[in-house]
Amino acid sequence: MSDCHSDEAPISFSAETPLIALAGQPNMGKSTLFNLLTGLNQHVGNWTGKTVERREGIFTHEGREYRLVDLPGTYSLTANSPEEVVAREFIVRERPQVVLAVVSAANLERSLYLVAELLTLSAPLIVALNMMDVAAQEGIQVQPEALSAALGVPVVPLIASRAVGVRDLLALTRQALEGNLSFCPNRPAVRADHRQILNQIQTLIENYIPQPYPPEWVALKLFEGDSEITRLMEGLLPEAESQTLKDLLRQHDDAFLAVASGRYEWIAEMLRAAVRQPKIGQIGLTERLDRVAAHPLWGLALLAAILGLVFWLTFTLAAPVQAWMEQWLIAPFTAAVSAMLQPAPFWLRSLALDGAIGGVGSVLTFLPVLVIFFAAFALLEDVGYMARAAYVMDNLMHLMGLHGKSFLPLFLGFGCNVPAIMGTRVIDSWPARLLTILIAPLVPCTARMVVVAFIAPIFFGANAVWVSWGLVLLSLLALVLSGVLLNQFLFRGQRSAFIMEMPLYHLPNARTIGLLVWQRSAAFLKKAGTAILAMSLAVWALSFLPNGDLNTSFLAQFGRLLEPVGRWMGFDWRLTVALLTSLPAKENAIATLGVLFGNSPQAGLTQTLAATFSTATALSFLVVTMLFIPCVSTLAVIRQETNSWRWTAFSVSLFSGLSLAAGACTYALATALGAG
Amino acid sequence: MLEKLLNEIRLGGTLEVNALAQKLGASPQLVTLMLEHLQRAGYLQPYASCGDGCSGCGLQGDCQHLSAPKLWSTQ
Repeated sequence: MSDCHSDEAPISFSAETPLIALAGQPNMGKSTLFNLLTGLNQHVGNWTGKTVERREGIFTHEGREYRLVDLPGTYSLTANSPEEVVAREFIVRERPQVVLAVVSAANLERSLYLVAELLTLSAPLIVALNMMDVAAQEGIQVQPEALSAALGVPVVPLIASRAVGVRDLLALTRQALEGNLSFCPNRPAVRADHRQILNQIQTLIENYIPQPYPPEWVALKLFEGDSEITRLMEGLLPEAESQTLKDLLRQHDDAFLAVASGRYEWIAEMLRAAVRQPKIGQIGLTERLDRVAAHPLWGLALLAAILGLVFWLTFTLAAPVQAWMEQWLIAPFTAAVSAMLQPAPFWLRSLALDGAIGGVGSVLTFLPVLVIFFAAFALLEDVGYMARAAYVMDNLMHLMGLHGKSFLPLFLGFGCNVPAIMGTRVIDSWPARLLTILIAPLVPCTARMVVVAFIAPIFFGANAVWVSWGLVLLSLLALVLSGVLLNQFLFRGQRSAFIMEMPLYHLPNARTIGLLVWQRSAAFLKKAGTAILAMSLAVWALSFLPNGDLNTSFLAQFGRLLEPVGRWMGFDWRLTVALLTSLPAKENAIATLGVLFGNSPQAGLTQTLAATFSTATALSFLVVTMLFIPCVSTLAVIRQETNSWRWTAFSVSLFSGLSLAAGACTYALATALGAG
Repeated sequence: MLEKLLNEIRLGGTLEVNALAQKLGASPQLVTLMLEHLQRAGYLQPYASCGDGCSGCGLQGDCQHLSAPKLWSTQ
């Protein structure tokens, strides 16, 4: 077993040198303790036939020499990895006189599972309770005496990085080696019904267990379904006993759960006995805040309030900057280009002023709105709130019978619907995935929010916050209702589980937020300079041709064809066209309005729009925009992910019908209330 | 305790570690540990953002969440 593969000379020790094993999980300070004790008297090689590193050394304490083997860091002693096999084979076969289990006081839950397994082996165990300083910093109070009493083995508090407690550990180790220390280990219990089967297995195999394997441990490992021990015993048992064993194990194939369950109950018992964890700092704050933020009802109310606050902040802070940009950047720039192009042909001036500046310029003035909107969401993400928002939303969706795995893709949809639909690939069940794909476009993406941010303040002034907030809630309500209805046909009440560990709340990092705002704003600017510019120019060309008159242009002719449908929602042909041009990218609706209305000599775009359309029409336009057919990129991804033109067409039909119906109802209702 | 956790998971729905910890009378850290155990045993699978779905997507930089929760789902 101690065959080393290394250029270093093996260290020498006498046969009487006591053997001590150092066991523990990775990152618990095991290597620190090993280095501290052995110093330069150590040797590094590999375990026989394994690529697992073997570290061995000698140290002297009070004139006596000890041999110390640093076992590989493992989480358990089940044959899940070569490290775990090496560690347990060493303890079973080499029989160290003492095993020192290095555990972290700051993370005792994680450390104790291995201790639970070590206790089932016959070697005397001493627990080195390391990282006491880290635990104290985190407000965790571990009482070594209480832990020792609960475990039934000695426990020594330790700070290995500062050599604190090492002398006590060595003194106890010596006492154990001299047989002056009593061990009365409190081992995890196996449930009574399983205990009987375990005894049956032990009786069946005990005459065939090779030395030096402890019979009870072998029986337990067989019960747990350990592959190495099962293989070992299958090779040793006679045919009849082997078959009986297989039958017993087959009848209790859930036994490994019961064994592991017993260990976790034992860990909880140890923690209750020895750990006091006052909930201070981040953990306490997170728990207190989550009583509201993650509550099924209050959480939803808080989410609605936060969304309202984000819109209020966005409009309040961005409006002056936006007005400043229009007055001091766009207007002078338009005037300068206009003056420069005085001698140019009419079509070229119109192309530059109405097409390019009218379209892209209108969109660009909304950059301040977006920057504040992005910053607000980046802040919510960075402090850890967005995970709670998703959790309470998902809870709501579950109440409506929707699928738990749908939550993250839908969450991504707040940024853009394209990754939301691509993200549904993690959903195994096809009906669930299809349902999520179909409803994902109802999550209001940032592009739709740009259109809302543009239109709402023009028509609703100070109430724009409430209108925007209401539109987001309307989209989410439509999502839930569509999901419930589609679920009746596609899903049939199937429920799977989805478990999440939410991050702790923490102070936001300005650099992280700044970086995210920059990335998202840069992506928006890139889009404005490419797709939106191209669409602006195309809309301009169609509005200019064939004779330079907007009212008789190709665009006007096309718009008038669809105007009867638009009338249901209070739209004239120009609004109908603006809506249709939002298909390639939602922001195009603003660019199109900029091209069609931005050339008024008397007033700017916003004043012209306010003077042209009623509040009822504006509200209806916003509702339709929120629920309208997804953009072309989203439709392409729906086609790609469903691999079906039929479902893509269904999606187009669903959103056309939904948006037109909602728009018509909104217009009729708003007109009836006097907003027409 | 692991069996009780598995029973909760089998009921389906969206579950949160702190709420599960309260139900089981354990610490959230212990519940996380048990979830990892169930993951190793093949009962659960870790849920990593949009998985393969994001590869090759030009927008992936736009939707990386800063404080992403740790997630599992049933197989």
